[in-house]
Amino acid sequence: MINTLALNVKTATVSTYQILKSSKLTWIGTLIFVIVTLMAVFAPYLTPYDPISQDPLAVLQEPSALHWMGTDSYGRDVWTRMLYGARISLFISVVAVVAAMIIGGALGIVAGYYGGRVDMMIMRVMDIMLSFPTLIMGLIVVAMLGASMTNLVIAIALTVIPKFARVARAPTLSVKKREYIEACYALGYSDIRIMVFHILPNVFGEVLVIGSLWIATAIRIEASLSFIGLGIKPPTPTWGGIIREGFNNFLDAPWIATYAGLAVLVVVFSLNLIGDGVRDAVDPKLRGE
Amino acid sequence: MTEPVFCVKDLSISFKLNGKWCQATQNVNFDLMENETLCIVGESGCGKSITAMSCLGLLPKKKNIHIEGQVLYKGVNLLDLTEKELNDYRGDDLSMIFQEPMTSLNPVLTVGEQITESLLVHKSMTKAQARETGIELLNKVKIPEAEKRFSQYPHQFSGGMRQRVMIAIALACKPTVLFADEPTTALDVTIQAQVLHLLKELRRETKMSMVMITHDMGVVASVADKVLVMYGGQVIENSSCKDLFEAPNHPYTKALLNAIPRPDRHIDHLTSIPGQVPTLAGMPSGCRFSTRCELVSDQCAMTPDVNTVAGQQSHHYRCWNV
Repeated sequence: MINTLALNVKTATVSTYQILKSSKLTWIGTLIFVIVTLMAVFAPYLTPYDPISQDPLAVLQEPSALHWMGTDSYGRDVWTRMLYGARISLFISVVAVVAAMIIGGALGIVAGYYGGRVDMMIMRVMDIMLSFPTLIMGLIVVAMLGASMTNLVIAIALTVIPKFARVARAPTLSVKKREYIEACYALGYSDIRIMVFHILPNVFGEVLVIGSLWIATAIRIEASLSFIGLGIKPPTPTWGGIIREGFNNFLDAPWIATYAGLAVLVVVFSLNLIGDGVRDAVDPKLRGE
Repeated sequence: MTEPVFCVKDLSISFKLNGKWCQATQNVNFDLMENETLCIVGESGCGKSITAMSCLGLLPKKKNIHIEGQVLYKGVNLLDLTEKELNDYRGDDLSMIFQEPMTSLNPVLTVGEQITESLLVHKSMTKAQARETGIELLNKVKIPEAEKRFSQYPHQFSGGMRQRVMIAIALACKPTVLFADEPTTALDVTIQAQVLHLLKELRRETKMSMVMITHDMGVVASVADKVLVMYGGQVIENSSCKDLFEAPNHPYTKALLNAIPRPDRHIDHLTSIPGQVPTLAGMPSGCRFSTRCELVSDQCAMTPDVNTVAGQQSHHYRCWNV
């Protein structure tokens, strides 16, 4: 009897990773994002120029063998500024989204787990935050705190926190009613222990999917804020800042804003591809469960 | 006579439903000695599970739930304790097995993680010690290849195996009293027999006491020392297992025993008890079984006293007409 039971066990289920692996678009997205990240990391090795020092003799030059993407109105190499800009744009976006994922996820789980008044208070605050359009929310924070790297991270994180809270709360509500959570009470586990070790692993997948999608949006918000002059101050290069500067000379030197805009487009596109793939992989319907 | 390990005194639980208080259990009493098994039997909704849950303090402390009486474990009234104090008992001295093995294990954690967790929490073991004890426990509940199974996930286990894992988790901290809420209901008959056998064996080894909730008289006959028959939130008969099967007193108990199909009797229809259990809000005054009883008389409009069977100290029932 026991032996037959042991045999039944070996039925394989399709793992999340297998679905992820089989999706070509996800691979393309991942590839693009990894290449961009590597380029940002190894920026000093990919260009002979400095992103900040100006060259009055090479102002607004067209793309050439010397300057692949031309130069801007201060004579700086656009390719170089793009590489160094990627460092800051990606860093701000990833840090902001990870911070928002942790804070928003925790708030959502706490709200869903305790329910009642705690839930009410947390979620109403989230609703208020959500009622501001993403860009306006960013504007308010930067306008209040001033434009710096940290404040930009805070601004982006604040706009994204409520989305994570919502995504984490919904599955928490259903998971906390399962028998295995009831069993945890019967085993004498504390609330914090149950939330961290028993509910979080059940909620993590969904939060992660949203995370990969929101990094794309964070890059866009950063670019938008920099574009309207609320981002990191020049001469530090960021993608939004480069577009802004390029926009001033758009008719004389269209390449500056175009290349930077394309970079934002490509990275946002690649992250959306990854997000779609992860969502499909985590979706139980597609796993045939 | 020795002191009982676990003791429930006049436990009454009421819920507020649509602004009206409804009594889910009324004056439930029982004593549990060391190494003794008590079975609580009754139909769905008769208050068995609620009783077990309040024994572990699992009912939420809310305004719409009112609990009276005492639940004494080694002289401590568990109903007076705070959630934090209760957590020291739960999973350690008092443990519980649930009905649904398929949903009682967390699907995203390995079986090993779930077995060792209570050891880490209650016995402050190191991870290595807990792992060793965990594998030992899996061996004890007769899971083959325990070492390999330890790091597998619940979906790789069958229903019977999961129930064994649940038992292993419940027994991890060597509890004094184990509550089993219909531990075999969701399992098929052969697996059911294995699980019951296992429970009996483990009980003999560890000297723990057990409260088993079930509606299966067959299960009662095979494991119980004492039996509590409940109907509509009341204990209507309470006796040793042997006495109950040999000489049931209450008409409800008799009807329950009659309803078990027997191979030596040839019948066309299964015997059943006519009618349905009244809802909590619509409980008849007087004897609660009176709406379905064959022996019903005028007297049944009054609540019957608890009678003791002559010559049997621990055999009580609640009826006018026996």
